[in-house]
Amino acid sequence: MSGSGLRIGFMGTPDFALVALKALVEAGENVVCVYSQPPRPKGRGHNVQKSPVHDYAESCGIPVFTPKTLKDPIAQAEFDSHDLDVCIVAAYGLILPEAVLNAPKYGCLNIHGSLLPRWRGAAPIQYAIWKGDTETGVTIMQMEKGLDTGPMILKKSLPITVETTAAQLHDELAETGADLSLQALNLLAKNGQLNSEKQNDDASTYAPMLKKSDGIVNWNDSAVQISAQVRALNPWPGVWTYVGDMRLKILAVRVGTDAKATDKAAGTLIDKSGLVICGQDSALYIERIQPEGKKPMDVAAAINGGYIAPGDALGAD
Amino acid sequence: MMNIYTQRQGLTAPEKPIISISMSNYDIILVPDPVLKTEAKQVQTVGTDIQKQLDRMLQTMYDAPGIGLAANQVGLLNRVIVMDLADREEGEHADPWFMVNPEVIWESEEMSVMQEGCLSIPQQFADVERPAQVRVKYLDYDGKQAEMEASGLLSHCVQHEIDHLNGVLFTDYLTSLKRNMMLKKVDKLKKQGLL
Repeated sequence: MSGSGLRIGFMGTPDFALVALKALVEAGENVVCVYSQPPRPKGRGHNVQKSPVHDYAESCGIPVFTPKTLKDPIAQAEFDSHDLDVCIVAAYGLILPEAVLNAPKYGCLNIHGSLLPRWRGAAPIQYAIWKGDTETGVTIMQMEKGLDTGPMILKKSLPITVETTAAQLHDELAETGADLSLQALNLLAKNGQLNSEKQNDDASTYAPMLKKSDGIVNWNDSAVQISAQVRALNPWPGVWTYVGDMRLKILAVRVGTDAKATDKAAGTLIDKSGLVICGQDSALYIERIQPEGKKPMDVAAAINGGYIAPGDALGAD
Repeated sequence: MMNIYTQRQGLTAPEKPIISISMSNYDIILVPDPVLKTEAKQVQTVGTDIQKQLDRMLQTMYDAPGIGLAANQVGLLNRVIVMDLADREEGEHADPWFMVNPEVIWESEEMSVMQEGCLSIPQQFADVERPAQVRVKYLDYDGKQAEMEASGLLSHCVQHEIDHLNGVLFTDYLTSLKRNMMLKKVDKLKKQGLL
C-alpha cells in the first residue's frame, strides 16, 4: 500500500464527493470504510438509486455504510469501531455529531467548495457565481460542530470569469478538492498534525439551499447580474421568465456591450438578435432558450418558430 | 422568563405571571388576513424594543397555548419568532427559543411527515412533509449570532415559523380542496363566536 499509510474513512454522496474518493483510491490510500446517504427514490419513475459514491465504493470492494442518521448511538459505535486515523468528508449531507467528529484520531476533514469563511452552507459553488465573485476555490477544514465553521488547513483559489458556469466550476472544484485532500493527508502523515487557521466569523457569508423561486429572472436587474444568475443556477433550479403565460427557460445569455439608450421597458425583446433590455441601462442577448414543453433551441429558432417575437415583454407570469 | 414560567406551573403560582402587569398579550391574527401572506423584514439591531416584543410574543404563545409564534401572527412584519416545545401540561420546564432573522442554512435530504396546526388557523390540523433535519442561523435574545440544529418536532416547528416570516402557511402545502375546507371551517367558527 502506498499513499500516506493512514487508516482513512470517507463520507460523501454526490459526484463532487466521488471525484475525491476516486483520487484517494487511485493514490493507493487505505480507505477502510465509506459512508453515503441511503439509496433514495430519484429521477423518472422514482426508482431507488444508490449514490455515485456508494456505487463506486462497492465496485472497489470498500465496505459501505448508509445510516439514516449518525445521532443513533449504535451507528456512532459502529463508526468508532473502524479505528480511523482520519475521515474525509465531502458533501455527505448528514449532520456529524461530536461523537463522530472526535472518533478518528485526527478528526474529520471537510472538502468545501468555496474560500471560507465566504459561502458556508449547501450551495457555495452556485452562490459564488451568482453573487458576482471573481474568484472562488476549495477549503479543507477541520470539522467542528457548527456548519462549515472549522479552522482551515488548506485553500486553493480558482478564477470565475464572465463565462464560468456552475457545471464547469463544480468539476474544477471537485478536482481541486481531491488534490487538496491528498495533500492534507500527506502533510498529516509527515508531520503527525495539521496547522490550521481560524475562520473570521465576521467575514462569513452563507449559501443556503437553492430554492425553485431563485430561478425567476427579474429584468430590472442588470445584464451582468442576470448573466451570473443564468450561469449559476443552470441546470438546477434553472432560470426562467414568462412570455404571456408561457414559461421560457433561459439556458445561455451574453451581456450586450452596445446597450443603446432606449425608452423601452426592462424585459422587452428588441430585435431578432435576441437583445433584451435589462435594468440599470444595460441589455443582454438571450442565446439559448427552452419554451415550455419544447426542446432547447437557439434564439433564432425560437423566433422563427413563433415562440417569441421582437416587441414581446418578458417578465413575471 | 424561565423563572416566571416555571412559577406558573406550580400549584401556588399566581393566575397570571407577574410580568404581565406591565405586559399585555398581543392579539393573534387569524386567516384570511393579508399580513399572514406578507414577507417580514430583516431586523437591523436587537435592542430593548425587540426584546420586549420577544417577551410579549412568548407570553402570547404560552397563553394561546401554542409551541411557536411568528411576528406576522401578531401583526408585526419583522423577522422574529419564538418557540417552546416543552409540554406545559406535563409540567416540563420551559425551554423557550428566541430567534431574530432566522435563516435555514442547511436541510437534510431525508424528509419527515408530521401533523401541524397553527394559531392563526385554529383547530385545523394536517400532515405536512418537510426536511427531517435543518440547521438554522439566527440572532439570539441578546443579538448574538447563533446556530442551532433541529430534528423531529423542533425541526417542523422552526420551519413552520420561518415560513410565516416568508408569508407561507402550512396550508399552502395542502391541496386547494383541503386548504379551502380549513378556511371555511375557521370562518364558521368565527361566525359562531367560538374564536
